[in-house]
Amino acid sequence: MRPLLQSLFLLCLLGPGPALAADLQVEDPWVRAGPPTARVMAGYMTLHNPGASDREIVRVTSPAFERVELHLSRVEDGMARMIPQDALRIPAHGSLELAPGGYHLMLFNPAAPLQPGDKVELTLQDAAGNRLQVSVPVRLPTDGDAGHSHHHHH
Amino acid sequence: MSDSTPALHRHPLTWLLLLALFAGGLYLGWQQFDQPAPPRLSDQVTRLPQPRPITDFELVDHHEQPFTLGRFRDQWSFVFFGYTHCPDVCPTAMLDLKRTVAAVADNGPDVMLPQVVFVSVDPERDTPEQLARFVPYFNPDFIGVTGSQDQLDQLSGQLSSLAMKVPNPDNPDNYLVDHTASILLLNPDGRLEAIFTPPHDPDTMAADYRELARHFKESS
Repeated sequence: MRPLLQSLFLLCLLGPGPALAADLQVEDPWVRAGPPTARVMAGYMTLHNPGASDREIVRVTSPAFERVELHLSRVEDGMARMIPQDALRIPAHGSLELAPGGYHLMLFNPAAPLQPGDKVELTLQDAAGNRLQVSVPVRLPTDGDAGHSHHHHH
Repeated sequence: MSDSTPALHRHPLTWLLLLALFAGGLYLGWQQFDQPAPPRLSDQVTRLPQPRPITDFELVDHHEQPFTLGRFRDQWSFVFFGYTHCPDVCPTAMLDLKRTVAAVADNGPDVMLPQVVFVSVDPERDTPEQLARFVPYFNPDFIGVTGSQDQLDQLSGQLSSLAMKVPNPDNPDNYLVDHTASILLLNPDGRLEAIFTPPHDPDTMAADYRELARHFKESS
């Protein structure tokens, strides 16, 4: 399954207010490599919230993409649907997994073609404008990626 | 009195009846023995009681060649309905199919390798050129298929596949399309044989495929 390696990306704190980076930990972020001409891509990671209150990501931006949306893929009545989300909520003392077939970042119109080995910067923001910048590798999915909704029993 | 009635076992009809029963039993037993064992399938697949025939349709593949019913004949086909501007579900399904075909190949040459056909639910954006940028990326043998909305409806309707465009008001060019999540399997007669419901586990799909292909070969 998922490699035990737990990479913590605690980078720049850009916004005012309490540090989002101190409250959230990002594990194993990645952007799925796709065809060089792909105009939409998906980003995944696991967000850990060691704090005593829930956290919400309401906005993600990236210089590598024209636009980033928060989405949830799910199967309802046999239909695969993508449901835009206003926020990604990470419960207190809990985590939220973004993985194929579930929550993900939908990344529109890459500024340049991306291939495995490239890195992109993503900035996660909460409603108060606190920011967490994450450096995310572009890679192919591996067998260890939770690529199926059966990993998401909620 | 009893002497005048022939004993039951001496009656010629009794022997005839016994012989008929014996022959009947033999026949039933032989038939049972000759029937190929039914496919042993996982709970991820639903096999149709009777494979569903499909009438002809007219689509175009990502090489801009006609794609009609004949392309489903004489080989097994996994069919997935999706669209190229789909970042999560469709690439995941394509990867699952790539791994399924690889797992079938790894398990020996006794069944034929299935072809994989990606049918667009988004003819507005999925031109043959656009499909050519997406489908072969996953496996150069995979085939992308598109057409006009009417032409696509003609095939998807017969396969009970649904698709629904979902406007994205903030971002109109980047609308989404809800679509059937299952992967379909057509047999070499070009008939719908089975439906694989998500989640799709490639090793399980490969094992189910091998069972269906074995059963089909032994039955024909």
